[in-house]
Order: sequence, then structure tokens, then C-alpha cells
Amino acid sequence: MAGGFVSGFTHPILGWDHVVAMVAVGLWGAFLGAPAIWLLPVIFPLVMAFGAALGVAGVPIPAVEAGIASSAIVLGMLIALAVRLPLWLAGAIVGLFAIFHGYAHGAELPEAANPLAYGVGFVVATGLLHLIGIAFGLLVRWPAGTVAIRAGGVVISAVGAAFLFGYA
Amino acid sequence: MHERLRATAIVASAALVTPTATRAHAPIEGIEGFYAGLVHPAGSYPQLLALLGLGFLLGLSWPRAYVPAFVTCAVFGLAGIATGQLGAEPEMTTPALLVLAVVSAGMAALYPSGHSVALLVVTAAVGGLVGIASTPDSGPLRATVMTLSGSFIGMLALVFYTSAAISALRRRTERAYVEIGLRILSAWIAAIAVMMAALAITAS
Repeated sequence: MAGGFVSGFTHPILGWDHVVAMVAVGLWGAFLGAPAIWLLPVIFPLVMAFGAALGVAGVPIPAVEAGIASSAIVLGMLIALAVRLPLWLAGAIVGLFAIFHGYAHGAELPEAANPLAYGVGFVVATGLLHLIGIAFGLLVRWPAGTVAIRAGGVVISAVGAAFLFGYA
Repeated sequence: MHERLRATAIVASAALVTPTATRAHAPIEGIEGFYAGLVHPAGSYPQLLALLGLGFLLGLSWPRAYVPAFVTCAVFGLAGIATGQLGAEPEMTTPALLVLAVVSAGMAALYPSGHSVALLVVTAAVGGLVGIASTPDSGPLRATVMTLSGSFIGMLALVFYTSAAISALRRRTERAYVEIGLRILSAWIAAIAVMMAALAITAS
């Protein structure tokens, strides 16, 4: 049980492309304010789980790793440029990228020692990364905080680009 | 009219206590009878996820339709137990319970103020399926009755304590972040249930 949880928990946090993209979801949600601050971290795990289900079922999805790296680039750019999209479009973008993240984790689910514990660990780790992003995003109340958040978006994009072009 | 009601009650009671083929089992070694039934909903992850999802839904939509939903859960739970005793296949309930966990927890996360009819339909389905999945191993009549009684009370207790804790938390704090946190937790339950449903469906 514990091994399955640890395996699932560490899976998202041991890949920097996953980490920055999931932090970016919370960060962008906080940056956009209510209701995006809670809606994006709700949409992401739900759609991610459907992506994981596709991985479990063995449905082929092309360019999964490129999709994960692209999610960091796009979400980082949206934060860096302070883009305020309509809520439905923000949800659609986050949901689209969530499929790639979920697929990458879900493909390993059937081999897990305890699939339930793996799933719990992987969802909890994802949610905690969102909460880190939300906490960082609350700095938006102060002008200097807004600058720090937008700089964070640049860093997130850079990490994504490093993964996409094979530098990481 | 009274004769018909009495006959119906006798048939329902007989269905509840008639031992059937070996199917469900005690979730924890060494615990039997009433206590095995009591912990069964918490020890079986499809039931646990479905009941947690329902508890979050009722807690986040409180006080809307709370009492009718709770009564519906109890009535359909009893009906499910009776159906299980009459020979329904509990194996089929695992993916169905996981899908219901996705629906109930998803509703709690995305639309807890949704329509009361939808809430009651989900509640009835969860209660009924948990009742069917509670079918114990075959055994003496008394043991079967005790186990089923424990399962029924365990199911209701899990829904009641989850929903009561959530509604109390919401009323006492009245902070936006509490509501946000509870909806995110609901989304986590739904996400876990989606993955487990995919595993159960592909395995079958």
C-alpha cells in the first residue's frame, strides 16, 4: 500500500516538466482570480484522470512528452504575458494539456503494486503542486508580486522549452 | 390492503435474510458478523469512493434535499440488500459504483447547487448498488442478518458523517477557501474513481 502511494506521489514531482506545468495551473488560476482559482484546479485532475484512463486502456496518443513540455511553455507564456482569457477557454486549454499529463501517469497504473494507492498518491501530488501555484499566485495582490509571478511564468516557459528541445 | 402490505414485508424480510452463494467476504481478517458488515463499506474501495462522493455531494449541497436524499439512500440501500439476496451479481457492481463515484464527486466539485432530482437519482443509485455489493458469504441465518445489518448501518454512517462534517465545516467557517478546498477534494475523489473505473472496466 505505502509503496504504491509513494510511487504515485513521486511520479509527478520527479519530472520537472510535470512540476512546472502543474504549478503553472494553480498560478494562472490565482492570477485570473475567482472563479478560475478553484475551477482550474478542479478541471485539471478530472480531465487528467480521463487521460490516465486512456493510458490504462492503451489508447495511443501521439507526442505525449511534447504535449507535456508544450503545456509548460504555453501556460508559462500566458502567465508571463498576463493573458486573461474567458473562463471557458482557460478551462479548455488546461483540460487539453491535462490529458497528456494523465496519459503519462496512467500508462504505468496497471503495473503499479497497488493501483489504488498509486492513483491516490498521483492525484494528491498533482493537487499539492496546484496549491503551491495558488499560494505563489496570491502575491498578485501586490505590484511587486505581480512582477514576480510574471517572471515565474518566464521560468516555467523556459523549463518547458528545455524539455521540448532536448536540453533537459 | 393490510394483508398485502404484510405479505410484501414477509417477502422482503425473507429476501434480506436468505443466505446466497459465497460472494462478498470480510474486509479485515478476524472481524466477523455485525462488525464485518459495519466496516465493509469502508474496506471496499468502490463502495468507499461512491459513498465519499455522495457524502461530499450532500454536504456541499446542504440543506437542499438533505433529508429526502438520506431517506432515499436508506430505502434503496435496503432494496439493494434485498436484490443481492435474491441473486443479483455483485461482480457487476464494481465498475458501476466507480462510475457513480465519478458522477457524485464530479457533481460536488463542479455543480453542487444542481437539480434536486439529479441528486436523488444519484443517491438512489449509490444506495442500491452498495446494498447489492454488501451481500455476505453464505452462512447461518443469524450471521447473515447481523452482517447485513452492519453493512446497512456502515453505509448510512459513512454518508452521514461525511456530509455532516462537510456541512458543519462550511457553516462554521464561512470562508471562501474552505468551499474551494472541499470542491478540489471532491475533484480528487472523482479523479481517483475515474482511474479505478478504467482499470476495472479494462480488467473485465
